Amino acid sequence: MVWLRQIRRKQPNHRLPQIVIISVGFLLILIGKADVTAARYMHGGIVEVVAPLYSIITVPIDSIETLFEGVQTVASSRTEAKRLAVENERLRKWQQLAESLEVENRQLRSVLGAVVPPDWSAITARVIVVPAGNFTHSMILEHGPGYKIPSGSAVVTSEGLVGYIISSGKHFSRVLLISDVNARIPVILSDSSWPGLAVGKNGLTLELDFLPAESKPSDNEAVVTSGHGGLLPAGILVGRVSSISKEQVLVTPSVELRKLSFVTILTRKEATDFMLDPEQNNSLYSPLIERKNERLFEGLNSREILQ
Amino acid sequence: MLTQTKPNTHNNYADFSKLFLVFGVGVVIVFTEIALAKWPFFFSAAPMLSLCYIFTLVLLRPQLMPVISIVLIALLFELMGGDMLGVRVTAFYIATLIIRRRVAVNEQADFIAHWANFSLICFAVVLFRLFVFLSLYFAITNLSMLAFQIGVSILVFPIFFVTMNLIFSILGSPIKQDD
Repeated sequence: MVWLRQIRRKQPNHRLPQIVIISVGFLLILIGKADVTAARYMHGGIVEVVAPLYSIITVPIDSIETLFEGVQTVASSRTEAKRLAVENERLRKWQQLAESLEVENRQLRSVLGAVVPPDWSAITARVIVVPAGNFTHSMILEHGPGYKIPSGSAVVTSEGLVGYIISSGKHFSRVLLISDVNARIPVILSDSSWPGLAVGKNGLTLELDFLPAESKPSDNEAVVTSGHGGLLPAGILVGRVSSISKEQVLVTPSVELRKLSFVTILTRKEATDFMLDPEQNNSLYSPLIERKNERLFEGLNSREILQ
Repeated sequence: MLTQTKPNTHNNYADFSKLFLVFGVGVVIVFTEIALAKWPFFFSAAPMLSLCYIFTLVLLRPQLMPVISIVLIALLFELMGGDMLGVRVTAFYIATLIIRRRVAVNEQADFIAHWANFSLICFAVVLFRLFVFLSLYFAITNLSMLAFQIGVSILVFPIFFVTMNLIFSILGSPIKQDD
């Protein structure tokens, strides 16, 4: 009981600073929640300073991961080769189908006289920080200097949507993953075109909210961005329906968020850039190539009819 | 002639270089914790190495771990790791107060007792963060990942504790603490 008496004797001297520090902690929580602009700028500035140091320190840890991956690859190379052969065959069929669909799509657009929407620019970025805790799913990307990345820009890989930019600096940007509890992605079901909202759950699946009662999502049905709100481009694969129950529809993201190394940031191209230099930009969504004297269908050309 | 001398309180305080070194190691540990999350196994559930470090230091050498170091280490994780701002800082500070008042005073406690105390602290820290998250977002996060994170942190603690003990015994005799 001696120690208890000592503590009681010392308490009055220590209580005030303790209360102050805890109050400061709660104040920080409130500032973080209120999303104050100054705090966001400060946050971005600190990341700009600390991230290069972090990159140096994490080299050995990345090397260990690479080593493990190498061992795993060697161990499973035979199985992997078989799987790849099957996948390759399947992809070849899909490629043929995609080529024919692309031609058909171009022809239909020309016939309808559809206006191509303003294009998007693609910036490749390296993932340097992934979520270490389960309360916030966000990543820090290193994209190098010279890019002006607005908040809300979509972040994708070849497999689909990863998330969107929530703050950006000169060299680094922070991306909110689609799995975060604050992420709300306007989507549509690919087969039925019913709109909904893909909501993160801080886990490895998303939940489809605000889906109309008449909609009947099917298992493994693709879920793509709808483009509503104008923030994200339409048609990017978000995931596939993995579980359907009366209470909720769950979607498994098409991107394996745990294994990201490089991503692509999509930014809306400035109108002037788009008009001045439409063909030289290496964008994912290039405008349609207009061909003169193009025959759309055998024996029929809308341009000739119009002339 | 007798002169009244001031009591020797220097043993209770480490000099600035030692404090800075301990803080520097803390920064490296925070970065390691964040980097571990890049392994798919630890995605969004990396072991709380910084808590292990703070707990061990406060237990073994409290004079080397001032409040400012704890706050900065927690804040660095929040800024770099993208955690909720202020939550980890508050949780770690309260945890430190509890360790100093309830855990560190019992000098007779053996390793198992420290391990059990760390498990409780770890659980309490995650529970506090969960409570704040629940209050701010009215949503519940993935509990299995949280349980995994607590479990891994508890498993990592003995390695950390033994390593730190070893380092301190190699570096020299412990700094004497006055009652």
